[in-house]
Amino acid sequence: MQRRKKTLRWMIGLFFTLLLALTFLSNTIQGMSLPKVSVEKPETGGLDLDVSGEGFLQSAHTAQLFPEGDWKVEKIHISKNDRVSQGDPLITFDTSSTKRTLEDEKTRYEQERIQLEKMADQLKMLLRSDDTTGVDNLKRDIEMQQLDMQMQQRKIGDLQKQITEGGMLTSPVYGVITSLNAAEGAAAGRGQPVIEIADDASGYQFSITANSDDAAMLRIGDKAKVHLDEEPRRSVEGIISEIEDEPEGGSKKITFDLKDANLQPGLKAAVSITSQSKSFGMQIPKSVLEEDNNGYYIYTVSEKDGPLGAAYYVSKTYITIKDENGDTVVTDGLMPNEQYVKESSEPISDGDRVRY
Amino acid sequence: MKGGNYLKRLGQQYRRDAPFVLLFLAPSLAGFLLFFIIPFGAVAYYSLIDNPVNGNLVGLENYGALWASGSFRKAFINSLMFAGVSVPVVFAASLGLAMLLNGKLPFRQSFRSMFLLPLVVPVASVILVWQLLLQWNGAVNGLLQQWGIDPVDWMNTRWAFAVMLTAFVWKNAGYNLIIFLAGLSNIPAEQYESASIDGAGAIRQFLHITWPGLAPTSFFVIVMSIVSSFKVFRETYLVAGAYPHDSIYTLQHFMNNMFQSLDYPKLTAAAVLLSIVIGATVYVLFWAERQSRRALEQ
Amino acid sequence: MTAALRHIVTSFKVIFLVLIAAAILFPVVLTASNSFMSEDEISRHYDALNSGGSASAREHTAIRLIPESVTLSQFGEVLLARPKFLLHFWNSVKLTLPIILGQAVVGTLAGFAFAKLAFPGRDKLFFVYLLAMLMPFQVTLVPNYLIADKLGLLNSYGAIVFPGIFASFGVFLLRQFMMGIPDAYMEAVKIDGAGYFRAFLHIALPLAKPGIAALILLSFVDNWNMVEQPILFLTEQIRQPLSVYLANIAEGARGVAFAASVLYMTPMVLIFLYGEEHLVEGIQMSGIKG
Repeated sequence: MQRRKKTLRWMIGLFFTLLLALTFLSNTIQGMSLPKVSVEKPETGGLDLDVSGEGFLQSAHTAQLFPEGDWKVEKIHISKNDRVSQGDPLITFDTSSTKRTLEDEKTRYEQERIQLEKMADQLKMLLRSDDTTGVDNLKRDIEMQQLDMQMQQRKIGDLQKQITEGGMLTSPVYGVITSLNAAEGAAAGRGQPVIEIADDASGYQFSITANSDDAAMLRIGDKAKVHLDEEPRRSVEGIISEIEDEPEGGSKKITFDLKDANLQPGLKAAVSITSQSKSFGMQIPKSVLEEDNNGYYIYTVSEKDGPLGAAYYVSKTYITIKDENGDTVVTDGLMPNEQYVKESSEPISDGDRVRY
Repeated sequence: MKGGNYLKRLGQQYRRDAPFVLLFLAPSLAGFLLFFIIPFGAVAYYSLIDNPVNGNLVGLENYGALWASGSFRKAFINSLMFAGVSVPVVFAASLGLAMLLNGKLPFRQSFRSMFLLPLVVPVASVILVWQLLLQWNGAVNGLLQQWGIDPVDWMNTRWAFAVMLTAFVWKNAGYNLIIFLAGLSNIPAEQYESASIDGAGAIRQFLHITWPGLAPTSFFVIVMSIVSSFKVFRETYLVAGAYPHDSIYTLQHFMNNMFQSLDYPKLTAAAVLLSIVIGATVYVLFWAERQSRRALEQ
Repeated sequence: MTAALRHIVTSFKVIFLVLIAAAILFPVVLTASNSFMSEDEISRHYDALNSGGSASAREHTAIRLIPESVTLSQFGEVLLARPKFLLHFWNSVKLTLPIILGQAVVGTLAGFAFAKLAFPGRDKLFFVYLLAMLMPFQVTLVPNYLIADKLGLLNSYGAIVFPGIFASFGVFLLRQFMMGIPDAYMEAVKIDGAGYFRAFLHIALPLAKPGIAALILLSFVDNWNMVEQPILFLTEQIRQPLSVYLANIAEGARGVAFAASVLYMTPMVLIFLYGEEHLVEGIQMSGIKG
């Protein structure tokens, strides 16, 4: 009997000790298996709408130069990206083939002139023979011959002009060579421009793509500082000239016009515009937003006194989205010092205990 | 002469004891007043006013409203029914067990321990078994079906009453058993011996020796059983919640629900009625006990 | 009656008692054995009609006392993965312990006064105590609630602990015990010139020790099971004692609930086995009309 009591006393003691030990350890045991979260306090204020991007300058207008004939390129006087002035020689063509054609045409003209003389002699003869019908016929032939010769003369004139003017291609504008489609010794195709020159006089522009939400506050005519990637770096003023939707949606193409001398096409231009949205609230990154049937929610962390010390629990907090940009939303429904879960090591759900 | 002397001595003792009475009794009396007597007075008062905010005396109006309420009548009748059925059953069961355990028997002590065990087993920990066995798709219905009997929705038909009764007997038989065993051991063994010598049979012995010998104990067992039967709410609540099947909707359910719905007039009126019933029962039983003892002594 | 007949009668008695004991122990044993069964096994054995009541599912119904495979995972789950169980366990301890200790102190003092001191109206006052003991908790529910509110105890354990400490059961039981101490002992001390305190400390208290033990046990049994007071006075789920919590987790995870039940009854059963004779003595004392 006494032994039984002793055993029971031990068992009772052991039971309570065990439960006590487990209670004290439970936070630790729990801690190891709890999902770990990182939290952050939301910033208050309107949304920063950042639009930034880079683009390459293009002139508003480009002069395209075509060769006058199917010539071989004899000499290229410039190279790509060269700055040229009006009248500068660009390409000299080998016009010998056209010259030869010119000689041929001249010869044909000579032949026709001889033919005409021959016909004049015949007419003299016929006038004497009093053959009126023959005379009339011959007169008409002579007129035709004269017309042919005029045509031939024009042809010669054209060819001569082609050789003198087209043999040497010169720049019609001040600007920069943006493309060169010719190689010395090779034939230049007639259909395509051999040289394109960005026309300084027309001005330059570049475009960037930005998130529609971010760009919501931008208007055509807004001015922005544009940084140019040059040595030394400098910035010029740009004006928004065009805002159009991109075909994929969700983003917009914004075009800036720059008016400044000494610009070059292809120059890298960067722009960064920060504007503030009109809405005011808590700023929360989009990545932490979740959605269910009741709308958007985030997990917030609250502290509760557990059996031993504080324990942290997450709870669903529904929010209303007032405004958003690419990665952040402005919301209502959150206390300013409430902390939201930014990341968690495991999927969490409402009421879960977490550690951080 | 003698009486006067006795009273004089008693008066002296009162005076002598008074400060100590205060010291020893004070803590208990203070708490008892604060948590039982004053509340009880308050209950009686509340039962006579329209609501605690206005405090207008309305006489017995609350009692009228209470009696008019169908759920109260149902609860009141159920509680009386349950007491009326469960007290005799638990009385018979525990007396029967006590008779079996009385006298020399192998493992007597172990049997007693086993019968007493339900008293200490927390209700909440066995209701699981209860649900497991008796719910609609529980094991008992499964077995019934295997034997080709239609299943019974135990907790949602009149069977619930039987289930509660079983639970009540299971829980309380041990307590009464102990009291009966004590009562039985107080009956002198010589009485049985002389009765056997006189040739009295077991039934005669029971009627003429055991039954009268147990009388004082029996009254106490009955009082305690009635009180326990009014407290069976705990089990019912844990198994069936605040709104169980009609047949086991007792006064305690009614009162709890009135409390939850803040219907204080009805609740307090019901409380006063219940305490009158209990008080009267206890008084009658004690009176009957005194009568039977006097009869025994003469 | 011959010895052989008596032997046969005794054997029948024992067999009958064994059957009854088996029936009485059945729920407890089932709870214990189920706590070692996996959730899956529990469903397989007991859920008769859930899979649409198909015949194949019904064939499996069987009440098993021995698990097919013993698993301790339920206990692991309760003790390690659910801090709530431990929380509610200590809630129960926090509620029960002060009540038991307070009741023992208050009860011993007042029991002594009722049993061994003389004062006018003593027996009438005791009868009032007795009546209060017999009243269900709900009778004084409203004023108790209002008093707890006045004292600022609402939704705190005080609202349950204080009425518990002053419950008249403790006074009743210890008065019954101390009535059994012969007055002659007391007289002896008084004649010696020792005061009531000595009588109390050196005679009543040592002699009432079994009674105090019995009170502690009976009060433990009663308060460990407490249901009505917490569901009405404690609004926060997290502060509820184990008795209320257990009834709520039974839904769904039954395997876990069985393990929790076993852990819940373990201290009760161990203390019962440890102090059984005191418990029996206490019950016997409660049954003696004095």
